[in-house]
Formats: sequence, C-alpha cells, structure tokens
Amino acid sequence: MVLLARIGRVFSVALIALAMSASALAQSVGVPPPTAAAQPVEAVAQSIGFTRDVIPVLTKAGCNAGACHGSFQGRGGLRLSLLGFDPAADYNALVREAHGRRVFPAAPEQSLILRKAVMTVPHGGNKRFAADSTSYRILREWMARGMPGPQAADPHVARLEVTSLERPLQLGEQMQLQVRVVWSDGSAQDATPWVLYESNSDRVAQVSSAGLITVRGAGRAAVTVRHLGQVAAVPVTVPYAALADFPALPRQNFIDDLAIEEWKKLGLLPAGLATDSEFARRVHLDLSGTLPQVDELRSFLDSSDPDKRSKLIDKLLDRPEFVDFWALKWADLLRAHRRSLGDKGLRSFTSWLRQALRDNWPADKIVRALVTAKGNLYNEGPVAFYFVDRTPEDLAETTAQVFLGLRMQCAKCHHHPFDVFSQDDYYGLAAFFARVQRKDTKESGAFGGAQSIRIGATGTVTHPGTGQVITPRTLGSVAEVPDANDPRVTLANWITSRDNPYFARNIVNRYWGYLFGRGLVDPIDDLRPTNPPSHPALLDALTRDFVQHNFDLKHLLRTMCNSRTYQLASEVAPERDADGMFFTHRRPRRLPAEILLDAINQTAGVDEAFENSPKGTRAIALSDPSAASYFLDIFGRPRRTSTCECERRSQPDLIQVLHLSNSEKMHAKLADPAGRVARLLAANQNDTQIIDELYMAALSRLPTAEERTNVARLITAAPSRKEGLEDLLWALINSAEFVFLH
Amino acid sequence: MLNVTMDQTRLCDGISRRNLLRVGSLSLLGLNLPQLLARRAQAGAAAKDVNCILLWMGGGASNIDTFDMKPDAPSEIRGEFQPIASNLPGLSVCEHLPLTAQQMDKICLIRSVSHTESGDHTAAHHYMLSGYAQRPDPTGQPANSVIYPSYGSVVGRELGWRNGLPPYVVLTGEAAPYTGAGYMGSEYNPLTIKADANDPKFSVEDVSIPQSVGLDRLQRRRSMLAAVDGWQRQADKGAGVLGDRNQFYRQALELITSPAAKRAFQLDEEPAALRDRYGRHRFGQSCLLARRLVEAGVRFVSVETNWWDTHQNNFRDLKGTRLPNLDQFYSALLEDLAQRGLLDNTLVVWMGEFGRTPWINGSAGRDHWAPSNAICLSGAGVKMGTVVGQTDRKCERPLGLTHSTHDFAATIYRLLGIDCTKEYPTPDGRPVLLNYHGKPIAEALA
Repeated sequence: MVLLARIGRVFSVALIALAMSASALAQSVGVPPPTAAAQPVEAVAQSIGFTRDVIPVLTKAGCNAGACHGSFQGRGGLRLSLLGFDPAADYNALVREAHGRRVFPAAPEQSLILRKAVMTVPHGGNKRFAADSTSYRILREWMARGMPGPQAADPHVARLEVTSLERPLQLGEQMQLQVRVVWSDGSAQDATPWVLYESNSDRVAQVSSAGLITVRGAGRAAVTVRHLGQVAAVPVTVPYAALADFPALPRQNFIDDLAIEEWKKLGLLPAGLATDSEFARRVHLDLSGTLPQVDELRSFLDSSDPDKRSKLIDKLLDRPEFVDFWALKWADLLRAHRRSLGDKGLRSFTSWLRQALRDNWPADKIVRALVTAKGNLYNEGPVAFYFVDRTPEDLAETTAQVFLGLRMQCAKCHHHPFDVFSQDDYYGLAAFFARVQRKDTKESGAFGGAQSIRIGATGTVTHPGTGQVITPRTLGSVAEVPDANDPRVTLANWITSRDNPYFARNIVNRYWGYLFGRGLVDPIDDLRPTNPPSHPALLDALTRDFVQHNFDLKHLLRTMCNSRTYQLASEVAPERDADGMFFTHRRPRRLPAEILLDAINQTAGVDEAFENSPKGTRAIALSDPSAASYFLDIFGRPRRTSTCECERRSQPDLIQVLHLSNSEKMHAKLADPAGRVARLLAANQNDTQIIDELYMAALSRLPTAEERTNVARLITAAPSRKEGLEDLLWALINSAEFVFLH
Repeated sequence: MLNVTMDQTRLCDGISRRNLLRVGSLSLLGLNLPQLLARRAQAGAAAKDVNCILLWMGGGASNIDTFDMKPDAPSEIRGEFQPIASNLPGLSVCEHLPLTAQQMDKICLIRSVSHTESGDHTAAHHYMLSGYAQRPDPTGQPANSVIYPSYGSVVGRELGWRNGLPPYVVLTGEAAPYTGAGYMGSEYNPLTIKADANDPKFSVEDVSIPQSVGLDRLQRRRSMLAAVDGWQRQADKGAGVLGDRNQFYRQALELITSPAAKRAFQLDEEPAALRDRYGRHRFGQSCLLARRLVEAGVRFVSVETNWWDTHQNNFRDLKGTRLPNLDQFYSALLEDLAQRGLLDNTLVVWMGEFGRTPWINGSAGRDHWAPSNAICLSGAGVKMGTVVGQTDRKCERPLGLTHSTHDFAATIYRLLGIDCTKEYPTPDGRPVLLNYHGKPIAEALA
C-alpha cells in the first residue's frame, strides 16, 4: 500500500476501488491497511478514461469474455471486442450502436448497460455487479461526464509489475498480489482489483478474482495476470518438505547443478541412477527410436568401461536409425504429406531432410533453408515448406509455432488473450510471406508438373479490421526494413539470430521434452509468458550453451543424455513430483506408434510389410505418413495436419488393447515360422536360455529369479513348449514395461 | 428388377402375417412375456438412459425422392417416382418405401435443417455429425482446424460404459469421416466393426478370440501376463503414469470374454423370420445387430450405408436395391423396437450429410445439396407422427422455419440427456463449446 501513496498522480476511481477492496482484504490476510484516503468519486470523475477505467470494468465483470459479448458473434445483439482489445469498436458498440439506447447520459442509472448489469431488466448473463459497487459507479460517472471516448493519443499499457514471490510459500498460506500498471507515458497506477487472475494449477495454488493466492498443495504453479493486452506470470513455489540437511548429490554436468538447486528449493530428493539395462533401453529408444539388439545389449552390460554410457550415446548419435527417427520427428513437425506435396515432392523433401540430419546441420541452417526456400520443389526439398502452407497467414502461424514455440493463431482475429501479441504482430509476420508466388500445376504424384516458389515484385497483407496494408514486422518490434529482394531473408536473419528470445529456447525446450517426456515449458510448443518454465535457470543455461555451440543439435542431445538427471531411474507410482515436473525420476510414457510397432516386430523377429515399401521397411523410416497401417492409426500416428505437438496421441484406449492382445495379426507375429520363438526352438536351447533371450529382446533385461521360475512353470503347464513360449512373448509385448519408455 | 405393383401386394400381405405371428408368439422373438415386461420396466426407470441408433445415409440420400416428394413440380425436378400415402394422414412418401410408409406414425420428419456445405462430403459429415462447420478437405484431415467429436463419441465421454460394453459402436463400412472423437481423443473413438453381419461366419475382428487361440489359451496368457507384468502391480498401488491402461485391459478382457457381448453378436439366436424381415444383407443384419447391442448395453450404435451418392442414374439405382433395402431394414427396426418397448428409450436417427439437388443433371443423377435435407427421428422423447418445417415448391430450401446444424445437434443432445452447453479444451488448450448456442428444435420434442 505504500506503493500506492508513492504514485504521484490524481487517480481515477479505480484507485479508490482498490483502496477499498484491498483494505478489506488486507484485514483478512494481515497486511497493513492502506494509507491513501479514499477520495469521493465526484472529485476525481474528470479523470475517467474509456480505455483505462471503463474497459477494465467490462473485463473484470466478464462482459467482454469469449463466452459472452466478447464472442465473435456477440451475445444478445451486443458485441464487444475480446477482453477489450479494440476500445474504439467497444466505444462505438456502447455509445452509438442500437440507436444509442445502451447509454443514457442524462440519467445514467436508467441506461441499459447498467440496468442489464445489475439485472433490473432481464439479462441472459445474469447480474454482473451490484448498484453500490465501484464498477457501477465508474460506468455511471463515465456517462454522467459525457462519455469520453478513446483518443488516438491515449497512452497504452507498457507493462505490468506484479509482487514477486521469490520466497517459497507454505501449505495453507495466503498471499495478496499487488499489480501495478505502467503506461506508455510513464505514469503508473495500481490495478490490483481490475486485472484478471488465473492459476495454472489449482492443486498447488488457487487465486481469487481479487488476486488473493491460497496455497493448496506442494509443487509449483504460475499465477497469470492479464490487463489491457499485457500479461505477466508469478511463479508460486510450495516445498514438499523442509529438508534441513540437503545431501550433497552426485552430478555430471551443469544440468544436474541447476536441477539440484530446484530440488533443494522444493525439498525433493531424486531417484537413484537407472541401471545399465534401463539406461540402455531408454537411450536407444530416445535417440534412435529402436530397441537395442540382444547381442549389443549383452556387450554393453558386460563392459566395465566407466565411460560406457557416454560412448553409447555417441555411438547412437551416428546410427542410421538416428536419421530415420529424427527425420520422422521433423517431418511430423513440418507436416510433410503427399496430400500437399505429392509423392515426388514428399520424396524430395524427405531426402533433403535426411541429408541435413545425417550431416548434423545446425538448427539455424535448417530453418534458414526452409524459410528462404525457392525454386523447384523436386530439386529443392525445403521448398516443401511453401506447399504445406500456402497462405501468408498459415505460413506465419507455422513459423511462429514450429520455429519460435509461439501459438499465434489467436491473434489472427483478436489480440492474443494470453500473450502480448496483437493482430498487428500476426499480420506483420504474415507480411513477410506476401510476395511468395507459387507455380503449381495441380498435377501431383510421381509425374506431377512443376511446383516451384519464387519471390514476386509485389504482394501485400492487409489488416482485416482496418483494411490497412501491414508492413512486415518481427514479433514485438516496430516495423523492420526488410530485404528489398526477399523479405524472408530479413525474417530468417531475425529468427536465427543468436539474440532471438524464442528460437534457441524453443528448440532446446522441444528436445528436452522429447527426451524427458515433458518440456521445461509444458506444453512444449507454448512458450508464452503466461506459461513460464518449471526451471527458468536451467532453460536459460541450456539455451546459452546451445547458442554457444552454434545450434548444434547433436551437441544438445549429447549434453542432455550425459546428465545424471537424464539417467535417473524411472518410477511408476512416485509419491512426490507425481507429474514429473521436477524431473526427480524418469516418468514412463507410452512408446509412440511407429516405435512400438518396430519394437514388436524386432522382438518377435518378423518384418512388417507396408504398401509400396520394401519388406522390412521400419515404421520409423516410412516417409509417407499415410501408408496404410491399422496399427499406426490406432496407436496415434499424427495425421500431420496440425503444427501442435499434441497431434501425436499417446493415451491408451480399448481399441489398442484389443488389437495388441487379441488380434489375429499380433498372434501371427508371435507364431511366425521364421520368428524369434521358432528360431530359438530350432536352435535347441533350453527353457532358461530362451526365457532369458525373450526378456532381453523385449525388456532389455534378464528376468529376476522369481520371474524365471514362475514363467518356466507356466511354460511347462502349456499344452506344448511352443505354445508356452509364444504365450510368454505375448505377455511380454502386452506388459506395461514393454509398451512404456522408461 | 422389382415389380412395383407386385412388390406392394406381397409386402402388404407380409406385414399382416407378421403382425399376427408377433402377437401370437412373443417367444419366437427370443423373449418371453415376463422378460419383456421386465425390460419395459427397466426402460421406464432409466428414462434418462437413452440409447441411440443412427442410420447413416452416407453420400447423401435424395430427400426429394424419399420423404419430401414434390409431385406438382415440373418433371425435371419431381423425377420418376410417385408418392404413396403413409399412415400419417396428409403425408405421402416415395412409392419405393411402402413399408416405411406404414411406420410414419413413429417418425418425426424434419425438413427445416439446412447448411451450406454442398461441395464436400467430408466437411458435410462434420456439419451433420457435430453441428460445427469444417474446412473442406477430401481426405477428412483439414489442416490447422479443430475436429469436433461426433455424437457417439460425446455419448461415450459423457455417459461411459454399461454392462462391460463400449458405449459407441460403428457397424458396416469403413467408418465414415468424422465419426470419431476429434479433439476429445482416441479414447472416445467408436469400436468399429467391419465384418459383414450377414456372413454366416460373422465374427468380430479383435473382439472375438482368434480361432488359433481360443478361450483356454487366452486364460493361460492372462496368467502369463500376471507373472510378467510387475510394473502393473506396482502401478496399481497408487495413481501412476500407466493411466487407465489396466482398466482397458480389464475392459478388453471383459468384452472379449463377455457372454453378453458374445451373445449380442450371435445373430443366429434371432428367429429366421425376423432376420428375413430385416433383410438378408449386411445392412439389414447390421440393424438387427444394432438392436441386440443396444439391448446388451451399448449406448450408441451407428449403422452406416454409403450408397446414396447418386450423381448418375439416380432413379435406376434408387429403385433397384437401395430404396428397397432401406425400406426393409428401416421399417423392420422401428417395428421391432416398438414391439419390444425399446423405442421408449432408444432414439433412432435417419440422416446423411446432405440432401440432393431437386434438379436432375445430364446423367439422370442428382448432385449434392445441403440447403435442403430430410431427417427422421423416432423414439425416446421425440414427437413422433409429425412433420417439422417444409421446403419450397422445388425442394430447394426450407420455407419459413429453418434450423442450423447447431440447432439439430442441440436437439440430439437434448434427446440423449446430454448437457451441451459444456465447454471442453482442445488438446492445445483452447476452450470450445460442445454445441455452439444451438436451440433444440421444439417442434420435434414430445
């Protein structure tokens, strides 16, 4: 409250409201009452501004929310801009539309907006505030004072300043946030009662509409604050336990130092180091999408080399399967598909991509090639980028989401409700692509005609609201002067600049998410300020390291895999850190569709036959994502229609279980006359040898003594040895330990 | 080739005989009277527990040639078929639907639903199966847009399993576009059964135990899995990351070994006369199977036909087998459900993605036409024996009363007892409404 007294400005009624409500709150949470005296409304009415005072009232009351009048269609005939991003339109809607019957300056109490809001006339949105509320008084005074409208010269919100919560909070503790809004003219004001609050985890911290945080559980939450197009987030940390003597934990690189720092803050202890078996299985699947073969696994397990883990990581980074697997990931991300590229275009793109990954092109080189691609698709793979998306708007959305981790879609139609981006940012990014011209003969397939990209002399993008031509501008900056020959070069320079706040961070976070099953920012492609990272210092350090190593993707993977944090044991039912947000253990996750199918085939010792691919083609190496496969479809192979990583589904369902456990197809794999069981039987090995080999093939480990006995007993009880062994293989493939990466 | 006059005579005769048969001997239909009464009581007690059978006319059945005939329109519009009177005074239907004509008292015929997607089958499917518009995309995979769940998936999510049977089953065909759960996730996708229910060796892939395995071996495998799956035992102790995996294994085993499910699929339990009545083709037998599945506990069964895209030879093909087949299974289903008291808590929906053009093209066909359509509702909560809305003289557009696909969706949700004002997050976190402010069609509700 001292803060309020310091702000040297005649305050609007908003401040009075703050003083009143904050004092009420202050009493309940033990904060000293404010020193600023409440001034009578009439005395300050001159200062009521439409944008500064009226819109916050509408926003706080929910009038301009998406579910109400902020909907694109409006509600009940009144349409407001979403969360008040367009004050001029809102002024028009309130004052001029409907023949001006919504406002009544001569008798503000009789105005429709107030009567609706207090429900003295029927209102589909129910009562929004009381007649003796500050909200009511602001609207009344605004009308009484002649309804001043927004002016072009009005200051805008420069930033929000929120109480920082460095100190960990305790269970049950309450904490009142204070939010100060700083305007572009340098003035500032307390906006605590007027901003919108939201917690991203009610399990950890709840926040009231007045900004009062109540701690509910251990962990970390972010409370976001939104006001007039600006956003901020406050992390709330609640320790699991107070560990007085935090042990000195082993570390392998800087990742571990920063992870340990967080564990200390949270009172968490990590799991132990994964066994060699678990590590080998994990790192094979994570880096090459492939289960270890039994013989290579045996030699890894038998080796006593202290550096054997690092050496295995290096070996896997150079495998052909590494290229298959990461090409699949990038092709998913870039949505390479025959429906947009044709067979020939898809082949051209895939072979370029595979070459780039084989040669370990740095991320900036890959992205620059895509963004500035031109020429014939059939000779120039990266040109595919411009055939997957074809409009400047779609290209802007993909560029933002895939390369920068920013979801700009919202800003197409209105100011982004959870970020700082406006329609100007959206169309400014689209404008870089306005001069892209494509020659597309419409014939696709192997004999398709020319498909090429060139940069035309002209081409513009217009703002759908104002109809004005928008010049290219990079996010958050004022217009840049683009390269006269090809504006995309300017864009590529900005994206891949070492100082770009999003580019390296986005890739680091995605790759972390691929390896750890969860991003430091989660979801992994949503880097907005209202979705802060779980480990800010770690994300910063990894980003710095990645930039210092010139965006070297293998270096990034190697650094992560060599950390002890990556090599921790998995836990199926952890007591703490259940959602794996703090990486205290490895959180198992289901194998992706392609990897799972390959793993089943490798374990059963059979080959898959895909249409139009040579027998034995592995699912991770399929370049055509529409190659018919019931298995891949039901296990959630992405259709490559969305830039969202969420398109790849991994939740289990009944159809999958039915297929895996009860289909003729799966049964045929187990019983294949050339399959693993048949080969082992023919090799005259004893039950124990065969059981061991099946365990190694499927689970990358030997059975425990107990497992060996139980399984052997069941095999003996089966009508035939063959049946018993097939049933063991069936059980291994259907076990959670097989289906999950851990 | 069917002879129209003979056909009518034969079928009219057939109906009266069958009615006699039914009244005289319920047990022939697999039920004795106490069972029937018990079922009815059950249905009454669970008035909200409404089932649905969706008869999907994929390709877009011609409305003007079925339930919205325009005998006074010029011949290039009205086409070849003649109207016949139905058992609803004042309503006539196509001469090739004589059996259905006698069921119109159990149907609420809606002619007021209109949408704009005439160009693309898949986008139109999305309109009619979810209420929402979708970008046209012949592959059914539009880029960067939200795919909404179909009615059956919503039922599955909102109401869940019953009697160890999955809530949503799709019969026949390849599963039409957008019959799945869209943004809700594959967990709510239908169990799709592709096998031909009319095949004497009909068995359901992945659901029936493979012949080379058998029940005994399946049980041995379960024991083996228990011996191997230490992970699952660990996870069962607490809420872990394996999610509902174990639940799905339980459900799968339940389904595979369920006598109820097994029995539901055993169509040969039905008397031959009834099987004949439904029609000895995959669609007729699928309708019968739909009824058995609903009786066993499945909440939403979709029976898909896909032969209505009559751009060429509309009249030849419709009167050849398509309308006669439809007439058979549709009338049989309504009759059978009513007879068993199942119509009280089973909603039957007959519809496709759009209607067809009133004008006839150069190939004696009719093309896609979304602005006018005919939809039939029956059963639970429906005001049966009514016609809602009318189209203009040429059957081009609704006159007066017009409903959007959202209104239609709201109607279906209302009838199924689902609150459609709910909001769900898409996988990328955007909140979307189950239904976009549609208003149930009051005229269709009892």
